[in-house]
This record gives sequence, structure tokens and C-alpha cells, in this order.
Amino acid sequence: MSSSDHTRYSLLQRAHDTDDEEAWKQFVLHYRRFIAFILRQIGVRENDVEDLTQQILLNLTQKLSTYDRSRSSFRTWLGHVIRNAAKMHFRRQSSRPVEVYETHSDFLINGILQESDVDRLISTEWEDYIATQALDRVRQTFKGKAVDVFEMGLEGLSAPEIAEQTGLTVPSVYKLRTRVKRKLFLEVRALTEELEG
Amino acid sequence: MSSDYQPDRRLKGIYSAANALGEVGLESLCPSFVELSESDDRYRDDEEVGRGALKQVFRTYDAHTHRWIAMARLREDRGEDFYDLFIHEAWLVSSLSHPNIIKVHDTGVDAEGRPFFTMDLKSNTTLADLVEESGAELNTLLQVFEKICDAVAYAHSRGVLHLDLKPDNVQTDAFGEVLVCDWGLAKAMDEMGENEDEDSFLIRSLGGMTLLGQIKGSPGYMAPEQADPDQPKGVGTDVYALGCMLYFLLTGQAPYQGTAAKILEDTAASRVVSPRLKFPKRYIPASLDAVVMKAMALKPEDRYQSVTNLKAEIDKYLGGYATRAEESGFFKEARLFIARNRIPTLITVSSFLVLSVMGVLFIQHLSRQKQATELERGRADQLDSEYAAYVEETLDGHKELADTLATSVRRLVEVSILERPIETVDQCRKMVEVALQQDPGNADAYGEHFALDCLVLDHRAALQRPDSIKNRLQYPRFIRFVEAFPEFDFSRQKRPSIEALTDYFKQARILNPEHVWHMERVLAYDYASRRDKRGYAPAVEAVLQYQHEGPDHLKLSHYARTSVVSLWSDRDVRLILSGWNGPCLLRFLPFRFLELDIAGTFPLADLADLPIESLDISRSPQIELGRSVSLPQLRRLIVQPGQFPENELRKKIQSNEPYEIVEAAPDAMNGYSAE
Repeated sequence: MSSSDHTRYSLLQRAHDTDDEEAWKQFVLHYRRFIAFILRQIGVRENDVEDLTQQILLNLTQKLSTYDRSRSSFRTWLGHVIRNAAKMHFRRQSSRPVEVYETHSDFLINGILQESDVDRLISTEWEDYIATQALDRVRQTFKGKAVDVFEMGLEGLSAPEIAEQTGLTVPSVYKLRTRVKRKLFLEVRALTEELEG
Repeated sequence: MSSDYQPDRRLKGIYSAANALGEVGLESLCPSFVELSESDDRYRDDEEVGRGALKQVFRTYDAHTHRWIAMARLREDRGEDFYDLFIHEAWLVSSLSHPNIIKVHDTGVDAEGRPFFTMDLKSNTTLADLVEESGAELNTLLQVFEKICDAVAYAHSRGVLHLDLKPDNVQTDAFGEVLVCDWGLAKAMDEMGENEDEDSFLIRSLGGMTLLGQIKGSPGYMAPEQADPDQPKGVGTDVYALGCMLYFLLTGQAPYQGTAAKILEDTAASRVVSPRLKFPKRYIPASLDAVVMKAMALKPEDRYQSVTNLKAEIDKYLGGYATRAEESGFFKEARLFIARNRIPTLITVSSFLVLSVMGVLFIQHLSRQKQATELERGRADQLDSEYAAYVEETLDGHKELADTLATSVRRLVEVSILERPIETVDQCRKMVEVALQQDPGNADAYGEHFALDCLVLDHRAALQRPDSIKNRLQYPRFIRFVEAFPEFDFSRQKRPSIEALTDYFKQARILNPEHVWHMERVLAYDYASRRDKRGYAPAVEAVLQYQHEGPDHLKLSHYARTSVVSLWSDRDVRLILSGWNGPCLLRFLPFRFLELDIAGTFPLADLADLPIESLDISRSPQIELGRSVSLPQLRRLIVQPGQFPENELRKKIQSNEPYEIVEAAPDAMNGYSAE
């Protein structure tokens, strides 16, 4: 069965190869939240997050043409672009004569902004980001208690406990949990392909 | 908006677990993986939305792509004889790719072993509804009609005839989307004629069947030759049906009325009364009346010989009409709106302004998206009218109007300051004044005045604005610049010296390097207002340095006499500061030769459309060709041997002139510039 080939054409490629308005919009939508989140994580001031995010998005779209998938994974490359922009941003701020910074950006410049640390941060956050998005998608496709059951499992409840709380039988708890997990896995894979492919 | 993401930490490890699995692992984890990819699991919640001679159409949820789609299934009472016929439709439509033809996504066989295919699910309003219910204007209908023509002309070009065109088979929606559907009777042209096989026999019997069905249900739209199964069908058959549809658009009725037998009889003889004769009281343009009659000629050879010819006639009509419409449309609406609401004169003035600003925004929106699809245009239309409705609603309160105006000012600046700086500032000032007449003391309005003061460098005025602006967002953004140069009192007539302007940019970078867009706007306004533009390079250089970490990292030299600009930087360089479509900063300098000496990256596309005759990129190893760039006057391109393959350069850099590619001599590396 042909499972719609056009979705396999990843967002990244579409945003790059064509002047596809919709792809750009999607691209911005998907990456904006993640970039803003990372910037907050590494201590960019709230006031600057929006602007800097914007700037990074511009950089990204501009540099997309130079991204070589054979040399590095998309995640690494994305991390590279974000890290450089953040570094530049902190450097500019620290060169400001008057303004005193009460945030921990100084610490960041000397400490955590070691490349490997930031890269690792971005890399793991990206994984969580994809997984979180995937679960959101899964939520939209299941009716009833299926996702609740799965989340209770994530929180460490055992199948009998879940059965008791939800009024389901233990076998159906197992069944629902497996179905949601399966779906989640598939969504993670689909999203990975879409956003990194 | 961007703050709403919170990672779900409970999902740690899911990403790697899911992506580490190979196909086999995935299957063992999910024993039903294979099953999942089958239609049963993928498509659910069927709800019938339509039924034809051959198929039933359901509204169905597609779990793979997470959206509602249309699922066509062979009608339950149609047996295996029809399987191939049914799939034939799906394949035929799949072979057509056109924005106005419905798309088939997936074809397959369901759990019961019966064929199905899936399509876009669009609105369930058809062209018939559009005409009968909403009473859309003729102009709008003709545009819809043109899209139908496009779709059919395209299908013909691919050798496919529709053979069942009628208003019910065209889906339309409020956003201007038009889709030609129901290709169940469609036929590839090369299958027509002598060698009719079993399939065509089925089609024919089926065609007869639907034919009767149509005549029973709704008036017919078929050509005379379709009344007789033995007559050949061709392009003319679809042209005839389009003529019938145009008839319907003009009159609101199908050309043939009456009992089934009478319709069949009239059709066979093409016994049709012209729209103008039949509906003398209706406004029907004579030219379109003639078009209908020609398209509906009895003999195919007397009709338009192609759908493109037919469409050209509509184009002609619309072309003449549009110029008149342009005058009336927008402002007529505005006038009606004012008359309707008996708004006092003062507000009338301002609403005109609001409306004309909307007009500006709308036009800019269109011009920016030259390749915008009709769909997007429809959306813009809708936005426009929604906005007008919004203004109408809130007009009661002067305060709201003042706020609206202030917001409009901001949007107007965003949109057009770089292209039309002087006009934009003038218009904005006027709007702010009207806003203040509505609501004296409106802080937003004063905030906009303040921002405009900063833009034209009238800091004296800026410092005299009321204190209420201090909690507006413009204030913290610009106040430090204002306080650093309190003596600035410039206007359109009175501009600072280039030295003073340059100094302003340099100091501004030290005060706050985050507002490069503001700097570009100041520069654009200054350049447009300045009479003597000679010696402008230092100002441009200062803005570029603002963006690129200061004078230590970027230098720009302009040699007016030799028309050379050379740019040096040890950083990544951008010459377009306002997004990826904005204008290039070098547009403020008159030059023909450009030398780039950039150690970092530089997207060549930033130079798009500059009148450069000679470009030297040989000292910029990291230049990015990226998207193709047009340098219309380029005659000479200087590169480093082996820097780029020649064919790539020629592909990515386009000139109206034939240009030569010259390799820089190695020993010329250090001989720099025409000093």
C-alpha cells in the first residue's frame, strides 16, 4: 500500500528545495518553540528570547542550503547554529559598558557554554522535544482512557493499580498501554523523519 | 506564544528507543505493525457524504496523516465487473496534478477485498450552492469558472476528457478554492474510438445509466453527442458542458429544463434559447451571451476548438471589467459603509484612513507574494472584509478607534518603511493625529509619535512627548539613543550631516547593539529625504558595522570616481538586515564594481538585483551560492581557481548579459583595490 509519499519528503527538504510557503510556516512553527526553550535554558533573558529566536530562525533558513547531511546529523547542525548565535549574543552583552547583568550569563560564558555541554543539552532536549510532540499527537488520535492509562504507567503505576483506578480489566490495561506505546513509537519515528530527515 | 512548550520528562529515552529499532524490531515490538499499515486501522469513522452511480463517498479519519479525508468506495451493489472501472477512475485522477483538480492520495483494497481510494476532503459546497444560495457576484463566479477551465484544459493536455462537467461536480469554498471532482466518467482520449473493449462498454452502459439519473434528478449539462452513445466524444464535449455551466452562472438556471424526455430531445438538437433572450430582465453582458452560444453550438466543429480559447474570451471580458472594478470596489465599499452607519464626519475621515491603510497592507501582501495562489488571495480578501467588519463593530468607542489607528501605524511602518519611507512617515503622522483627535492623550498614539520622532531623528520632539509613553514598549527601546543625542531636531527638510549621522550609528551600537532594524529604518528615511546623497558610504558602513560587531570587524570603502565598492570583514556577513526578502543595504550607494573580502560566510543572494557589472568573490572563500541570484547587469565574475565549478556558478548567478568568469591570478591576491 502506498502510504502517501509526499509526507515522506521531509519538512527540511521542502523548506530548502522549494519556495514552499507552507513548508516555511511549518518549519518556523516547529523550530521556534524549541529554540526559544533552549535559549531560556541557557539563560538568555526573557526580553531577548523572542528577538534572538527570530534571528536564529533567519540564520537557519539562510544556512539551510549549506547544511550537508552527510557530514553531520541535523541535530548537531541545529545545535551548532543555536550555540553560535547564543555565544555571539552573550559576547555582545558582556561588552556593553553600563548595563549590569544579574542573570547567570557570565557563568554561562565561562562555564556551561563549553561547546560540548551546550551541544549535549541541545541534543537531549531535542529528543525530549520530539517525544513530547509525539505524545501530543498520540493524544489526538486515541479516544477514551487509552492515553491516561499509558501516562499512569509512565508515572510508575502498575497495571493492577491502573485497572483499579480506571475501572478497566488488567488485560485491557495491558492492551491499551501497548497500543499507545506502539503509536507513540511510530509517531516519534515519523516526527524524527519529518524534522531531521 | 513560544513559552507554551514544556518538555515531558517522563518520556526520557523514548526517542532513542523508537529510533533505534529496525523494521524487524519494530514489528516484534508491535506485532500489529503490518496490520496498522492496512486500511482497516488507518481509516476509521466513516460517514457517508455522497453517492454516485459507481461509488459512495465517506468522510473518514486518516490515522496516518491525522486528518479527515474523503474515502470513495465502490457502491455495495456494484459487483466485481466494476472493480477495474472504479480503480480506473482513481488512477486516472492520480495521473492529473493540478491545483483545481481533486487529489487522490491512496488507492487500495480493503479488508473485504473491495477497492477504495482516498481524496482531499473539501467543503461540501458546490458551484451550484454558490450560485443558488449565496448569490455571489458575476465577477467572482467568472473567476471560479476560469479555474474550472484551467483544470479541464490541463486534463485535455494530458489526454483526459471529463465528460460529466456540471455545477454539482465542482467544489468551491469560501476561500476561493475550486476543485473539479467526480471523474467517474472521464476517459483517456486514446481509449476512445474504434477499438472499444469491454471496459468502454461498461463505461457506456454506466454512462447511460448516470445520464438517465441526471435527467431525472437535475437538468442536463451534457453535449448533444452524449445523448447518443455511438457518437464520438472529444474536447468539444467538455467545451459544450462548460458552455452549459456558463449559462447557469449567468442565469441561475441550467440551459435545459422540463421533463427527462424533453431535456434529452432538446439536448440532442442543442435547442437552447440564448441567456439574454430568455432572461431579458437580467443583466447579462452581450459578450458573454455570445460566448455561451458559441460553446453550445450543435456541431463540435462550430464550438471553441479548445478550452483555452473559451477561457481567453472570459479573460477579455474580465480584463475590461477589472479596471472599472478597481476604481469602484474598495472605496465604494468604504463609502457605502460610512453612509450606512451615518458616522460623524470626523470619524469618517479616520475610517477612510484605516480602510486605506488596510488597502495598502492588502496590496503589499499581494505584491509580495507574486506567485500567491488564488487560495491565498481569497484569504487576504477575507481578512480584509473581516477587518472592515471589525472596524464597524468597534467604531462606537473613540478610544478603540484610536487604539486601532495606533496599531495600524505600527503595521504600516513594518510593512512599507523601507520601500516608501517618506510617504509612510507622513501617513503615519496623519493617522496618529486623527487618533489623538479621537482620544486626546491616548498613550499608544503618543508612543507611535515618539517612535516616529526617533525614526526621523527629531529627538527634541521625542523628549517633549508626555510621560504617559514611558510604559509603552517603544520607550525603553529608543530612549537611550534619544538621550545620547538630545540636540537632534531633524525633519524631512533638515537632515544631519553625514558625519553626524555616522556618529549616531556608531554611538548607538555601543549604547545598544540590538536594534539593527531600527538603524536600517533611520538610514532608509534619511537617504530618501536627503537631497545631496554624495559621500554616503560612511553612513552605510556604520550601519553595517552596527550589525557586524563594530569597526574592527567590517570595513566598507566606496570609490565614487571609479564606481568601486569593496567590503572587508572577518565575520559572517549579511547585507539584508530585515529578514530574507528585504532590500540590500548597498542599494544606497552608486557603484558598478564590487569586491568582497569576507572571511566568514556570505549569502550571495543578498546582492540580488543590484546593478553590479563586475563582481570579485575570489577573496571570499566561504561565499554561499544558495538560491540562485539575479545580477541583471553582470558582465564579469572573478573567482579563485577551483572555487566553484563553472556550471554551478552559471546556474546560480544569472545576468541579462553574457558574463565572463575570470580566475584571479594567484599573485594578484594581495594587490588590493583601486586606491
